[in-house]
Amino acid sequence: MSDDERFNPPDDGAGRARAADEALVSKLGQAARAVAASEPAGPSPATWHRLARLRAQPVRRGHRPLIWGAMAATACASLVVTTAVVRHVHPRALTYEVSGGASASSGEVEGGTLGSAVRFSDGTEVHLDARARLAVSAAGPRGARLRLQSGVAHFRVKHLPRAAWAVEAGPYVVEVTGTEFDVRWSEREQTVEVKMISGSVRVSGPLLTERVALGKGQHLLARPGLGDVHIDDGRPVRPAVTVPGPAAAPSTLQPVRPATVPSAGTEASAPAQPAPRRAVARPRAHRRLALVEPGTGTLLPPPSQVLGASGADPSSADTGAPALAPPPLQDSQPARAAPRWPARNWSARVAAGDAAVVVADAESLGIDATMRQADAADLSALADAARYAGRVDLAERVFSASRRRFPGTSQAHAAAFLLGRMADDRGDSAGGLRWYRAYLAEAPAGPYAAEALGRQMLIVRRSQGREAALPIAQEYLGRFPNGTYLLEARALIDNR
Amino acid sequence: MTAAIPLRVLRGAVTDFDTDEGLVAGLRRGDARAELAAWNRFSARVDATLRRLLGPGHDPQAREDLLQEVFIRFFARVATLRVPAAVGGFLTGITIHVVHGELARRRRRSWLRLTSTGSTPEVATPPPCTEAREAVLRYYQKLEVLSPKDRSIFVARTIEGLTLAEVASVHGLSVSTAQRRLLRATKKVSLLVRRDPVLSGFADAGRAEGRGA
Repeated sequence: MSDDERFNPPDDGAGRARAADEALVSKLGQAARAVAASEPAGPSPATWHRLARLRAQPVRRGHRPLIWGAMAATACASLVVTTAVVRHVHPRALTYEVSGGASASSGEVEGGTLGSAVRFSDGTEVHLDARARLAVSAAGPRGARLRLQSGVAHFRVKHLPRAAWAVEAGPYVVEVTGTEFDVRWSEREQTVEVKMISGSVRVSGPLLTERVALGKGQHLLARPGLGDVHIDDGRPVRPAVTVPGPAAAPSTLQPVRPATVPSAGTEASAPAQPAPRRAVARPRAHRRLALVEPGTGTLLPPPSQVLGASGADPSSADTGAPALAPPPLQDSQPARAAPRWPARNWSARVAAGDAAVVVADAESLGIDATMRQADAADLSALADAARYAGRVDLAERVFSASRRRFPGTSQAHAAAFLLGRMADDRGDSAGGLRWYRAYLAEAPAGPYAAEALGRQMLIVRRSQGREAALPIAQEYLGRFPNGTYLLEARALIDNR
Repeated sequence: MTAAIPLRVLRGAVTDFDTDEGLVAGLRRGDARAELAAWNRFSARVDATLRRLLGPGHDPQAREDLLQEVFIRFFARVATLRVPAAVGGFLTGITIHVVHGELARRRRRSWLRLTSTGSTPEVATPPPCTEAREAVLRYYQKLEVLSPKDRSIFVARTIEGLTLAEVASVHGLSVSTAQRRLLRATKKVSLLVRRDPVLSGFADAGRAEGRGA
C-alpha cells in the first residue's frame, strides 16, 4: 500500500467526507506553498556570520545566566536537602548546662551542699540532691548515658520521638524514653532504688533475668549483694507494729497471700502456712517523701536497717543516700532467728565469686544448724553458693528451708522459681511446672514472672500439647510483649 | 522600502563537499569549510521549510533565529547520521523539531500572558497584499487550534509535502498513529475552514478554477 493509498479514504459516505476534507486542505496547502515561494528566498550572508559568531562562543549568552541560576538554585536546594537528611540521620549531640553544684570537664557533676540541676538541650532535666554525683558518660543526639555515682537524682526526661536515655546506677541500667522518676544508688549499701513518678522505664541488671518494665508509681529496690530484688506498686506496707502513733488514720488491712507450695517430695512439700499478717498500707510515697517521715521530720531508716537483721547488713552505716521509699515488708520471723546468728556476710562473698568458700563455711558450721539459724539473706546466699558450686541437692535443701522459715518474703518467692528451674533443668517437667505455678501465684509481678511464665508455657507445650499451651502463650504476649519467649509464644498462636 | 537582496556566499575552495558523503565526512571531522558548504547548500531550503511551517507574516528575525538553531543542532548531531545520503531528510527532521518546539513555546507564553485567543502577540502580521496571501494567513491562524504536535504533523504532511512515513519518523510515531492524528487534524481544520467565509470562498474558487481548467 502506497503512502497516498494509506492516506486516501475508501469510497463510502464517510470516505467521501474525508476526501472532501483532504481536498480542501490540499488546496489551501498549495496556496500556502505558493505564497511561501513568492517571498524572497534564502537567508542573507549576515545570517551565516551571526551563526558563526554564535557557534564560536562556548555557551549561548542568552542562556548562560539562566543556566547558572538554575544550577545555583539546584545546588542550594541539594545543600538544604542534604543538610536536613544529614541532621536527620546524624543529628548533633545534645548539650547540657549545670546550675548549682560543681561540674568538671570530664562530664561529672556534683550536687554540692544544696544540690544542682543539669538541663539538656532537648528539655530533659536532672536534679541532683545534695552530695549526689552524676557523670554524663556519653551524650548523643537523642539522649545521653548518665551514670549516677552516688546519691539521689530526680530525672525528668523529655518525651521525644526516638529518645534514648540510659541511667546507670551501680550494676543496673535504667532505660528511658520519656518519663519522670527518681534513682538512688548507694555504693556502700550496694542498693539501687528506682521510684517511678510518671511514664515507664526498663531496668536490667543482676538478679533480673530480663529487662523489667516499671510503670507509673512503681518502685524497685535491688540489693544485688543480698540477692534481693523487690518491686512494688508504690504502696509499700509495713507491719502494723512499726507504724507509730494511734489509729488516727484508717488502716487498710492487706493480708499477704500465703505461699502456695507444690506437693513435691522434698522438704518444701509441706511448707509452713503462715498466718495472714496484718499490714497497714501507707499513702503513696511522695516524690522523695520517703526521705523524711511525714509529720515528724525525722529521717526514715535506710532499707538495710529495716531489714532487721540485727546489723547483719554491712551497709547500715551508709547514710549518704537515704531511701526513696520504705523497704518491702519483712516477715517478723527473721527477727526471732537473728539474735542467734552472727553476721556471715555470705552474700558479698557469693557476689565476689567465693561460692565454694561459703559452702565450706556452712558445712563447717553444720548444714542443718545453718538452715535452722541463718537469717534470710545468708540462707539465700548459701543457696546461691550451692547452686554456683554445683551442689544442686544442697541448693534445693537450702531453698526449701528458706521457704519454710521465711514464707512470704522475696527470698521465698525467688526460691520457688529457682527450685522450679533446677527441677526443669534436670528434666523433672512436672516438678518444674508446679514450682513455676507456685512462684507466679505468690509473686505474679515478681522479677522472675516473665521467665516463670515462659518456662511454664514450654513445659505445657511439651507435655500437654499446643492447645493446652495456647492460653499461656496469649497471657505471655499480653503481659510481656517484648519478653524472651516472644517467638515461642507467637509460634504457638500463629500455628494453632 | 528596501527589498532584501538575497546574497550567496561564494563557495571558494570548498569543492570537496559536492556530494552528501563528502559533506557529511567533512562535518564529522569538524571542517569549517564543510560547515560553510552545508550552509550554502541547505540554508535556502531550510529557510523555505521554515516559511511553510510557520506561515507567512512570521517575524523574519525570529525565523532567522530558528534557522540558526536548526544549523546549530545539525552541526552538533551530524555525527549521529547513519546514512550520509539522507542528510536532506535529516535536516528537515531537525527543522520540524525546531518549529515544533517554537510553537510549543509560543503556546506556553500565550498561556502565561493569559491572552483570550491564545495567539502569539509577538508575531507581526503584515497586511495582506493579495487574496491568496490573505487566505493563507487566515489558514495559518486556524491551525493555531491544533496542539503543537498535531499542527506539526499536519503542516509537515499537507504543506511541506512529506510522506506519511517521513512524518511518522520525524515525529517519533508509528505510521498508524501519525495517520490517525493527521486525519483528526484534517477534520478539525476542514470544519474551521468551512465556517470561515473567506477561506471557504477561496477554496470554492480554487476548485471551480480547477474544474474549469
